[in-house]
Amino acid sequence: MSTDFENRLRTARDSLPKPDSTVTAAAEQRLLASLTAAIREPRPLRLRHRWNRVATVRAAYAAALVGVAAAFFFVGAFVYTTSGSGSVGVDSPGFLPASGWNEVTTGTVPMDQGPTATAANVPIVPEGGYVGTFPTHTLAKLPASGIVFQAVIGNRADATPDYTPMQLPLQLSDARVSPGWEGQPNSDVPMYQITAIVGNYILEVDAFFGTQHPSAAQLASAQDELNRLEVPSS
Amino acid sequence: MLFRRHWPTVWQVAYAVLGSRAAADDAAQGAMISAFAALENFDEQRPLGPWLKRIAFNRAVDELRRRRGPTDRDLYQAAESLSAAGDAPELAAGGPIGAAVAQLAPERRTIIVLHYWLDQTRDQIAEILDLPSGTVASRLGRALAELRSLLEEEHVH
Repeated sequence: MSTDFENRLRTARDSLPKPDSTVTAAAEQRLLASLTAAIREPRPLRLRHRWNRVATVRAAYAAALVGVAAAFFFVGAFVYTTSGSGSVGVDSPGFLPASGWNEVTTGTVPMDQGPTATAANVPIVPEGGYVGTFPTHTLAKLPASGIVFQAVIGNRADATPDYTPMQLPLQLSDARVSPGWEGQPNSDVPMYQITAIVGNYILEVDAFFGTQHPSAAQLASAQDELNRLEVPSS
Repeated sequence: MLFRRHWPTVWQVAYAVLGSRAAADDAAQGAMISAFAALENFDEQRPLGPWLKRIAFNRAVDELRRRRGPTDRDLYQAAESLSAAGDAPELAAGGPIGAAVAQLAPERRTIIVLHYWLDQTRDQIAEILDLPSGTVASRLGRALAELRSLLEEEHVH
């Protein structure tokens, strides 16, 4: 049983600093560079089924970097466009505006940065100014009535068997539900995950509720928001 | 998604050990690169989060050791002969409890941060620190007692 002192200690958790956004971006780039160097000297992978997704992430990073390098070679500069996966810049997915819902997106970014949209029926807490990052702080204090979505797209070529061809609107009833999940900042928040292939993209949509037992009305509200999800045309 | 989901916590583990933003930046980046390079050796039956935190912890301890010279393998014992690795200025500015946590030696600071602020269970901490669960419980108790004592001193003065 926790003492009053322990409870006071827990409430001081915001004292712990967070990494700043430029360091976060640099760390991701450094990781990407190291993965690219690794694929130049390939070694046999012994990935097992559960890690297909990890392999996808690694492959996506590498493939995106190769794409960026090719763009430099042929064009001589970064040119962000709003077309499909063959381009350097890709539009993020997005949720159509609706009363009571907030949204932030990465906008048009290279695929390696993960074009992402985050929507919530609560204020979205800035993650150190780094748009598109996992909404840890929003989820940490998500009220029971809260709903948060994060949608990210990748290249269809990186699809694993976890990704199923689907059409929009996605259905929440197709989601895999995880009451507990890695990186979970709040044990009351389950994750509903849909991994789909839509057009030329793989699409991962994670939905989070502020309760392990969302009501029918909450599920309906979430489905309404999911109906407003749009993915860039290929 | 994997990087973004785990990066903040990995960084905070490194910060808890090192007490310095710059040192945590380096240790956390190194930890993520090591972890992704070794993914194919990772046991699929285990959760990724504690494994990443363990790599970050070990990386930070290595950095601490490099800065302070050779010490015992056990950071807890080494901490007896070390003052805090960094003065954790951001933590110290975070109110009286943050300031007291900043004053703890690295091992005690880390165990408090993992349990009370990063919501790791004692078993998870045992995995991260590579210690028996019972040892974690006793060390957590001692860290808590020291923290309470620091706060009482602060209150008296």
